[in-house]
Amino acid sequence: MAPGSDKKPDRHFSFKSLNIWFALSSLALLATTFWMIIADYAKPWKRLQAEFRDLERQQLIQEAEVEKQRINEQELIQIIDDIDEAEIRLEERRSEVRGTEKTLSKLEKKVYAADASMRTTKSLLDTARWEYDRALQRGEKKGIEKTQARMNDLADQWRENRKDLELITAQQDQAKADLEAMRGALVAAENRLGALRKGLDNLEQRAANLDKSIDYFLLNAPLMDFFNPDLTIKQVILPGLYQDINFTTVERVDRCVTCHAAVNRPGFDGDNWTAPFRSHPRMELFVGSSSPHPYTEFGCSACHGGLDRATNFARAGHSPLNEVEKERWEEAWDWKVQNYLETPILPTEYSEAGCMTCHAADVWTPGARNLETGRELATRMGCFVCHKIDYPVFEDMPRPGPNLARVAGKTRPNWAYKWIEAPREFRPTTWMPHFFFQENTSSELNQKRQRAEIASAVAYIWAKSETPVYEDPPAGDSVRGQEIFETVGCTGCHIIDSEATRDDFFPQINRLHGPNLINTGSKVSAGWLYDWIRDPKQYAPDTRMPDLRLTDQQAADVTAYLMASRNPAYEQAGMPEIDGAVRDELVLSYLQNTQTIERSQATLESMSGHERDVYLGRETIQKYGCWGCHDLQGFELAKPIGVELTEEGSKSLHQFDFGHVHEVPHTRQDWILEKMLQPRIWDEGMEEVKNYDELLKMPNFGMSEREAKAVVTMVLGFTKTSAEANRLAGQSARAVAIAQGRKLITRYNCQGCHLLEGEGHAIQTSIADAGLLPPNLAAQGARVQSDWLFEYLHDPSMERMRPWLTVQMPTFGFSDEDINTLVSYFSAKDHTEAFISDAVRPTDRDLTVGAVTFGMLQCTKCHPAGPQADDGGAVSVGELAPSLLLAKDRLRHDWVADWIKDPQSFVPGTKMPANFPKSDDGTYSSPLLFALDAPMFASQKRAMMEHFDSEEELKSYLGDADYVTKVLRDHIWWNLD
Amino acid sequence: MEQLKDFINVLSYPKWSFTLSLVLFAYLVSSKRLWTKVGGLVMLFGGTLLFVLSLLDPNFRAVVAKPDNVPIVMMVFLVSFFLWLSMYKATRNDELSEGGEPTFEKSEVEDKVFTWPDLVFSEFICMIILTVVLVVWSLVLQAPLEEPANTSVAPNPSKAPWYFLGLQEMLVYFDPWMAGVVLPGLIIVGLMAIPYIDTNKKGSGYYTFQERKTEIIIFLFGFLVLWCQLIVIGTFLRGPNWNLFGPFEFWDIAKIEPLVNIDLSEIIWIKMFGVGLPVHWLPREIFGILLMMAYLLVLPVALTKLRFVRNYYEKMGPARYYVGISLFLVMMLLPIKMYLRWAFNLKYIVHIQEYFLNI
Repeated sequence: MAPGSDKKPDRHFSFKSLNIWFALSSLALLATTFWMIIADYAKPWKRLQAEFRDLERQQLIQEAEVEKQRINEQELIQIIDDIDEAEIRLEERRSEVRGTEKTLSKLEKKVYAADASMRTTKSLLDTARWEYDRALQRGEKKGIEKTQARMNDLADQWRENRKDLELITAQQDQAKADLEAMRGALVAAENRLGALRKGLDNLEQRAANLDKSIDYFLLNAPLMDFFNPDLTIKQVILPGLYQDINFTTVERVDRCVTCHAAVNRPGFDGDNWTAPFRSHPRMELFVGSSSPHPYTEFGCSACHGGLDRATNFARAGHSPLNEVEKERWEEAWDWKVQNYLETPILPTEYSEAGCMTCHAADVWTPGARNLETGRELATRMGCFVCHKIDYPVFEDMPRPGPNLARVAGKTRPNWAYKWIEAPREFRPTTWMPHFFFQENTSSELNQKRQRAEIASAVAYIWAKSETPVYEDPPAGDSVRGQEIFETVGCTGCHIIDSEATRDDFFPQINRLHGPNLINTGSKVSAGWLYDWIRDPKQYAPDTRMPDLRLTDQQAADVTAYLMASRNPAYEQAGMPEIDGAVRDELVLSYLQNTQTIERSQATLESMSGHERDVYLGRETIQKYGCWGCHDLQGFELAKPIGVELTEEGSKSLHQFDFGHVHEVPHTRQDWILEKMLQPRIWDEGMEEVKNYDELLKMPNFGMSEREAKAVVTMVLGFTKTSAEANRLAGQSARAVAIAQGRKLITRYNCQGCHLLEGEGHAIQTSIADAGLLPPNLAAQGARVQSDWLFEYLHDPSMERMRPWLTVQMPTFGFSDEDINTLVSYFSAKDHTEAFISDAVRPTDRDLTVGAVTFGMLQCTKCHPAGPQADDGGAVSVGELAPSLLLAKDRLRHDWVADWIKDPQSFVPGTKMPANFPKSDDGTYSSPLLFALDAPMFASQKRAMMEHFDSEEELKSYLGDADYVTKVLRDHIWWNLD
Repeated sequence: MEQLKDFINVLSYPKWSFTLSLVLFAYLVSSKRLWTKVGGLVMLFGGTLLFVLSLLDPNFRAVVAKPDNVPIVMMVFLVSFFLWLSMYKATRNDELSEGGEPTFEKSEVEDKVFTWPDLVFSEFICMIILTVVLVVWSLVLQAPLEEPANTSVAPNPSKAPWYFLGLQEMLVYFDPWMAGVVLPGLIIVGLMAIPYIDTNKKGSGYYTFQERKTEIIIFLFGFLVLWCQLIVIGTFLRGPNWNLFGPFEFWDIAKIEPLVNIDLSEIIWIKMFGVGLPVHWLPREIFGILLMMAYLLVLPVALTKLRFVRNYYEKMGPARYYVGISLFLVMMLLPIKMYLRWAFNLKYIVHIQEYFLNI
């Protein structure tokens, strides 16, 4: 039966319709197969790479246009004329040129033939040699003779061949030289053209390489793109930087550059280039091949976070900046939250958190401004006392608040009550946070509970406190007191300003290291303050407040000044009425944690009112963790009360409880940010649902938004380790010494007065003349002798470098261990050894030259000859420098000459003049060489000539900057004593 | 509308929905007048309409449209349709048989055709079309792959693949040892044993219900009520922390259900006798053990006293009967345990944690 005929009795289906079904379904399969191939091919990163290719090509074409403009038109025309002329000349000798060319072509053939026969003979010769060798080994006499003869024949033949080749080659060289001579002018002109167009040709070639020719489309076509496509996944493997996957770790393989095509290439910045086609910012520091973090070693995800291998926008862990961007991404890229990704890409404003991956042990990360501020804030706010944070920066940090062991001698309970209620009411800049009367504790009952808690906490503190008695101070002059306060150095750590807010000092908060001293008169007794100023350690042995070595009268003056600032409301306030029933209910609830209900009731009834207060006070202090910041008797063994933050930055999102708050974007960074700004926010609507002791209790530090963001940057940096030890910074002995020193510098607020690692000099807001500021301690380790520094830090009163300064280095009472840490810090910072060998006495000639040049350079104009300012006299006080009489005991012998030669290289911005100009090749020239012939220096010249044979010799010495600076040093060392 | 949704939410709690499905099942197997004809298609259409309308609810949509769950939605419709189709054909044949006429298939079989092209060609076309459908499906609805798994963060709820959700649902009522090992093992053994137990030769090569009533009812009970329905519950109604959520209920991660289940031994010793639990497991659990022994050993014998069962016993012989009835009783343990849980908060009938033996 013919196919396609109608249904027959032995057919169930119509063959014709089956064929149609078959045809249609096959076509559908074909279509879906193509669809599948295209869907598989159409990866967004290919589109992006192709787009960038176009953009880069356009850029190159534009650059070529600019280059074209740059080429000198006149020169170009001249060269083209020259070429034309040379060609005409050549045309005139056409027959001669043709003849030579013909000869050359014939010779070429001959060379080829001769070369070929020489090679053939050579291979035959090699074979014959081996055959001869074999025959020798076998010892066949006949064979030996035969093969030897053949070998010798071939060797002769090879020599002949070689001779032939050399002869023909010589002829060829001659012909070439002839032709060259004829075309010389033309070639020269063409070379000139090439040189002129070099830049342009390069650009045009690069643009042409990026052209989308037929090759490009074929090589990148679907199913063809496995040969050698232009559009490929670009990746870098990063040994030692790993990604934690299930049960093991794998090296990071960053593929970000697949889409961020320009990020590791300089030059794609400016307004024309937008993400993802932009160069990385600050390429001298990041990504650049000569930066400390080259792309091939550090990649991207180790710092930025995100899923290293992802080549899909939604999978890579991109974090939107805000809701608008989030919606745009959802629309354009199908973006959604990656719930199980521990470290999504850090939002740009927090990207400095990534530095913590490797730099945690460095303690400071200079350059990461926000992260640094976050660290400073966290250190002063004391985040680490309630939250365990296992990072070197918080190791052994002292409690941030004052010791309360003897507070009853310092202030009054009613002041303490009012203070705890709302510390910022009394001192707006204080670090002490608000624990009470927050959003989640506003009901009437809860307010009563909180009043009871505060009053009982005060009762506990006073019950445990010693009560030293202070006598009234001698009368002081508050005007003089103010002058002392503002000039002696108090202002490095303290302000007195009722208007100031903490945010005013952002990002440099050194002057908020100690309290803002407004209203001191309403807080403490004059006797206490007088005693405190004279010797802070007698009240609190662990205090960081140094001794400024004021005289008794000066201390009395400062006391008078500080006691004048008052807020009467705090003096008149009495203790509030406490609802006894509410207090008892709280006491009972604590008792019931460890006792039966019945026993608790009995215990409560056996307690007096005061006992109940003290008991509740203890529980309250435990609940809010007051003992974390303040040294309090009875809490020596208490454990931190907050959540551990060591891995907060990689804590998974679902572990953050957003409660019923829906307005805040549900991201890790937004949760932490809101927690900083409104610590109780996640209890919204829960005040009545939760038990009182279950309510969130993190206190409110009154952070400004940028303060909070700085702290968030730091917290986001607390992630799980993802780098091998050899990739981490801060591991060498030198780095450890620096890190330890940095911790002490933060602890004692050295940067309040000094400039260290480019930060500090906070005191400059109250000392107008930059010349009268405490010193910049850059290069301190290179500058001073370690044992001198040790002695000085031990007792700064032993020597004053610049007695004319009003501000003075106070006595901190450092332990020997602390001093050694600081000395090691300075040595490590400047790569110097701790001890140096003794200097050798120089020759008389050197000393004479040193003395003379010392005078010629007028060193004493600024460096007073004696220890007092008036010895110099020639310049203003601010221009004065330390007396050189102190040099020998204080300075490092190996440093002084280098310093004189190039002061700016040690301390940028120093007032010490650069007398020895530095040339581009790194050598220094001496000004004395030219000064020598000036009439005014005639006598000096004579004095020096006594030690030299000729003027040339003298000049050769004086022209040598190394020599001059060395003898200047020797003069300071040996002549000034 | 919200009240209706709330009502449906409450209704979907297993104790109600399971009871409802038992009633529905009883209806399906007892009265086929209406639903095995066009009426069944109308019901199916009505159900579809209800489904489409429910899609307006965001909570319902979120669960149903999740790419993982799409096959289950398809399963619901496909199972319903094929149940109707088979029963439609069976009922038609039963009616023909009642009138003394040959079955539809029998009359159809009279006409014979060649394997090629009628069978092979049409199968080939079906294969191609199926391939097209699968490719298009996978292109349109991308596989729901997520980011790399994180060992410290398990998804909540953590769900088994859809075909295991019935087993996972059993874990709510049974010890893992039972729900994960014994019952699935017996399902496989039972399915393998069917040809040897079921000696009813009727119904071979044609659809029928009347001639295989008991066999079909037992199978459909196991398949529809105990397997498909548990998959549907596991897929659509189990939310965070494996709490039950109605189809229109928001999956609130903070939802808390009381956990106050107690063992049979506690009910008997403490609540009924008012004494403490015996220390040794044997006296403690003796009532549960006796109960289980009665259920599995005495009941099969006792049931033979019923005339209806007696018939089968005689027809099948003791070996087939006891194997079959044991498997059936083990299957029935599941609904029985479910009702015991809902009625008495019963945790385990036998709870011998000393041997990890919990039933």
